[in-house]
Amino acid sequence: MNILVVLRRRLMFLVLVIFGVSLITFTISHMIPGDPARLLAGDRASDELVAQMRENLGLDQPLYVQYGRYIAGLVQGDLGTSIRTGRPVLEDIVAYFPATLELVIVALIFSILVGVPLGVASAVWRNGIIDQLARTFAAIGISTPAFWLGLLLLVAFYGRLGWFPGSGRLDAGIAPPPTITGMYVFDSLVTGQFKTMINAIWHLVLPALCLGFVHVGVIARQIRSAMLDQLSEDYVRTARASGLSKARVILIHALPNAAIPSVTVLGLAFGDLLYGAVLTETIFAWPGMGAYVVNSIQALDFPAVMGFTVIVSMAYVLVNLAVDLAYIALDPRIKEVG
Amino acid sequence: MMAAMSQYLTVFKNPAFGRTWARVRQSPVTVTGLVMLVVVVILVGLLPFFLGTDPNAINLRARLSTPSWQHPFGTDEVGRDIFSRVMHGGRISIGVALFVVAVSATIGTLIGGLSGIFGGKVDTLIMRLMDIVLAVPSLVLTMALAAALGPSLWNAMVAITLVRIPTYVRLARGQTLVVREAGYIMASRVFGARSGQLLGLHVVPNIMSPILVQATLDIGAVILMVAGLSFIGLGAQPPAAEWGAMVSAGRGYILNQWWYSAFPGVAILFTSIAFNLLGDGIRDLTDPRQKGRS
Repeated sequence: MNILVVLRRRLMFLVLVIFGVSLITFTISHMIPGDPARLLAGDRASDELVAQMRENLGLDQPLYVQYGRYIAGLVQGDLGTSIRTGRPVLEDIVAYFPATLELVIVALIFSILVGVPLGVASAVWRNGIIDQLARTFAAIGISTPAFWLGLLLLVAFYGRLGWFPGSGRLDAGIAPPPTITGMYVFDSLVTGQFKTMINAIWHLVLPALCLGFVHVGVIARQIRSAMLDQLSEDYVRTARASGLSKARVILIHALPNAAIPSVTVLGLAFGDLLYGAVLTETIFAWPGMGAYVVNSIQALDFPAVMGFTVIVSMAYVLVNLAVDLAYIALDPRIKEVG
Repeated sequence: MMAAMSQYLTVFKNPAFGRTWARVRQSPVTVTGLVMLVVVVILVGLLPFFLGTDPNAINLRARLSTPSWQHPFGTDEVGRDIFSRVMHGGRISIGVALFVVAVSATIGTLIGGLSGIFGGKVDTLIMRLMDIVLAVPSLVLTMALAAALGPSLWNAMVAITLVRIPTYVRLARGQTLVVREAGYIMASRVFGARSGQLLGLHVVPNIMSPILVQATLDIGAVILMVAGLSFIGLGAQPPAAEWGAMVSAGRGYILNQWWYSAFPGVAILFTSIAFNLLGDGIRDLTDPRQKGRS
């Protein structure tokens, strides 16, 4: 089965998923107790105004007509209007997304930089002290509530030691760099504003540490398992027997092969990181999608919450598709995927 | 009494139990998980009975006290003893997790089992539906569902249960497909057993092992999920002594009264580690291929 067949099959599944998610979010938003028209119009609006609002929004139509309109809007990128901000939900999400993406990328880089060496050491010295410590660390990482870890980091590194800032993306006196991607570190690097870049990195440290910590364990476990598979292969023994050093065999030969099956974990981690970002952003007052959705939940702003769900689900499926395709491209032995 | 006791103790003399126990003892991960769980059961299940304290008792004179002999975990803004609240809160957090996992595993196993037995179009339809739900990030879906149902612990439980069902459906269905071809199932069919009988008498008992492992691993994850939802205001509501809600309530005091949020968080971490280690250990024991791999 070649990559195009897999791609076609997965894209068809993507359409099915978008349809399914839209049905779920539509059903959910009609389960809400209360009248969206009244929510939009405000508490003091007259009954006539609410009725007018209901008609304008099409809420007086049968459910299947409403669903038809919803999906037609969705295809054109219309996720509805946020009750809280009064702006189109898609516009809001586009505005808040870069901050979240920046946080997720840095957290992912952190968890790879710590998780991969930990997993390799764990496999090489299997069942030794390092392995036991690494496994314990992994178990702690998976079991740690991210929101609680965030609070502890705030107390220690902001409250007591004062090493890192506790909230926001930049200090109050520093202007954001010109928008290219919306990710401050990248934008300030490209435009040569190094002072802004350092400040942005400084602000990223605590939230990224908090978000990435949980995934260090996930990545370490995956790498350990994949490395154990590779280290028992014949080519490793041959390489050692032909006089290559142990470090060279592990790092140059075994690790790249162990990394291939591990890329799938990155795709799955993306979804978890996005949810983790919801909690982390709340703690560190990080102005991203997570903080946006929590504020929307508290304001009963359902178009915003459902829009977030649809967008995140689509992004998740697309990222996993990209990861799977990369997996097939990287490993020529895989023919039967899809 | 003694006779009943000695009859009970014969379980421990059973050779099969002895063999299992010998294997458990060789796995430090499982033993650690088991010991931690016993500590949790004693502290959360038994200690509140002996202490007899009211977790909601207000004492304004002792508000926001630092940890001391009288209040080992300190007190909150209305002088409630945080130690007592953490111990009582454990019943909510762990109870909710056990309930959610039990219900989702039961429903998931029944749907997955029947889907596997029936096969054909029903099976295809059910599995495609499950694929769609599984393709969506489960935590985001749980949050959306809980938000729509309205903020309460019960609604959070319903949301988590619904989102966790597909994992068990897929697992149970896969296992059912394996046992479906076994001789004893064929024999039962020949003797006219109905699908329900097949499922209850033959399929479920033979697919329980991987489902129990998954369920044990899930308990830790669900404790974290419930706490996370409560933290953003979608789960337990004040003054309930649920761990996540307690961490959330202490947020405003975190820089000066760290103990308020810190101890409920330690409780979440400790319990979640206990279940994760135990789940990992049981998986190692039941699946020889996974030995030393997790």
